[in-house]
Amino acid sequence: MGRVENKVALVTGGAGGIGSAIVKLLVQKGATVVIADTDHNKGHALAAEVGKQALYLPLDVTEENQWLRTLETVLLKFGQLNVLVNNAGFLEPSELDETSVALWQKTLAVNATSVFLGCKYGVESMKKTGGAIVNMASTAVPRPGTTFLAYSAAKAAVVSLTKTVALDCAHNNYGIRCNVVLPGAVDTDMLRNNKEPDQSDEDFIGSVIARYPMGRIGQPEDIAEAVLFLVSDDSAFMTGAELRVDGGSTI
Amino acid sequence: MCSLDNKVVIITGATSGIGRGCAEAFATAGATVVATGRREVQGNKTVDLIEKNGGSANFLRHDVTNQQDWTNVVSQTLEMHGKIDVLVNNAGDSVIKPLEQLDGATMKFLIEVNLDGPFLGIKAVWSCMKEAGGGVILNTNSVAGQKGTAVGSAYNASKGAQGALTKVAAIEGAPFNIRVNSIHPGFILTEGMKETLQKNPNTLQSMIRSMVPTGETGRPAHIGHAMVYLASDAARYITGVECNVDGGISAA
Repeated sequence: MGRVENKVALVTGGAGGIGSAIVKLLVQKGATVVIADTDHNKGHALAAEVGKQALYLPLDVTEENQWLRTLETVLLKFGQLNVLVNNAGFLEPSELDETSVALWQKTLAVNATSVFLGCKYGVESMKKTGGAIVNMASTAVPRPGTTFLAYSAAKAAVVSLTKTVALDCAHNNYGIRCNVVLPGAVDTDMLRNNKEPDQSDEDFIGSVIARYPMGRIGQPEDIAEAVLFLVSDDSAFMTGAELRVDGGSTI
Repeated sequence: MCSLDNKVVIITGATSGIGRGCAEAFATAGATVVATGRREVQGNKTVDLIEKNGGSANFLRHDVTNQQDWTNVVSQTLEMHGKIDVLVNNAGDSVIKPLEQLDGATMKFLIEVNLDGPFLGIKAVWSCMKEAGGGVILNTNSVAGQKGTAVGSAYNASKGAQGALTKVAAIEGAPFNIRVNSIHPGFILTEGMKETLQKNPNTLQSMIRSMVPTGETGRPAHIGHAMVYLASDAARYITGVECNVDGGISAA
């Protein structure tokens, strides 16, 4: 927890399960939040639900010129950007023999190239005022398994990027911190879409939590709290750090 | 900061430095703090600072390598406050010397303070946390527990071992809602660090300059804030993790 009063934040994938929890918590703690997503219906609905501290802007995070346009709009409208949460992601499980080149490239684009673009242009926008960046990786990084080949690789790139960006900002004295959250299984549509058609919800969740010492999957709010901590002054001496939020599944 | 209203927190080594910083942070967050340590005057000063700020604290004399002391601290805390929600195993020591100059006695001493101390602490609070339906244990580790450095072998070894202990405790504690995490400070400017800087100015100064990307040392409050978050309900899904608060050392 921590306060983000008067901060302007941009959350990519802001309309999704984890993204919307992040948006709501940041707003609750005083920030003005730009919800960036490609799901216009959900994005507008969330902005309407949250109220005047939130705004929806469409953003395909894989497109460089859309990043430039969106950040320009944010700076024009709000005068500054203090917080960037690179949360947008894409998951289609596949093993080695099933992974097509197209799937590999799409997974890397939405999960990793997006974070590169966000950091590159986010830092440009934030370096005069300072700020905080949080990237979303996954416990698929330390525990790739066989089922998420492209996803694990892309999220590993996010962890590496986070550290390079943190170092770059430190060496250049931009006053920008950059850290990464590694969620385990979180109760969202993205997770539940992995259920087999003939499997019950209970069995599916049961199969997931078998690896979790805490005996339950995470909630979007657990991830949102970690993001809030990392973008607030409570983590002022943290940069280039990894924070796992995973019920002990990667111990 | 997160709220720790009505929580009872024991913090060892709370007589100065990081321990005092954590004690102050926990008190500001609303917790009742039981500050422990070997130095009564310093311990009472921690309590004074907290009370002047409107917080609630008391000091108990405590050598973390002494089993009986742990029994006393736990029973006195339960008697005074009825419960123990959080234990911060912060007490520790360091000796910075190259291997050639390090002797067995120093290794044994550091293992005792930095490993045996937290081990005894975890065991001391385990059953009352289980009975209470859960709790949080936070261990002050170090970046030295994660990476090799040119000097400090015995210190690094003791902190590395402490990290392994933390992980097992986290796995065993999970079914009982006992979360166990370690915090890894980088260079934090405490009185102890200032003394070490004076004794080994070239070694430590050049280490800080070359290792810390931000080029700065941290403050005890930085560690305190991270501890408050990890102790709070906001971190209810976080266990067995290493939380680096180090100005980017671990990324470099």
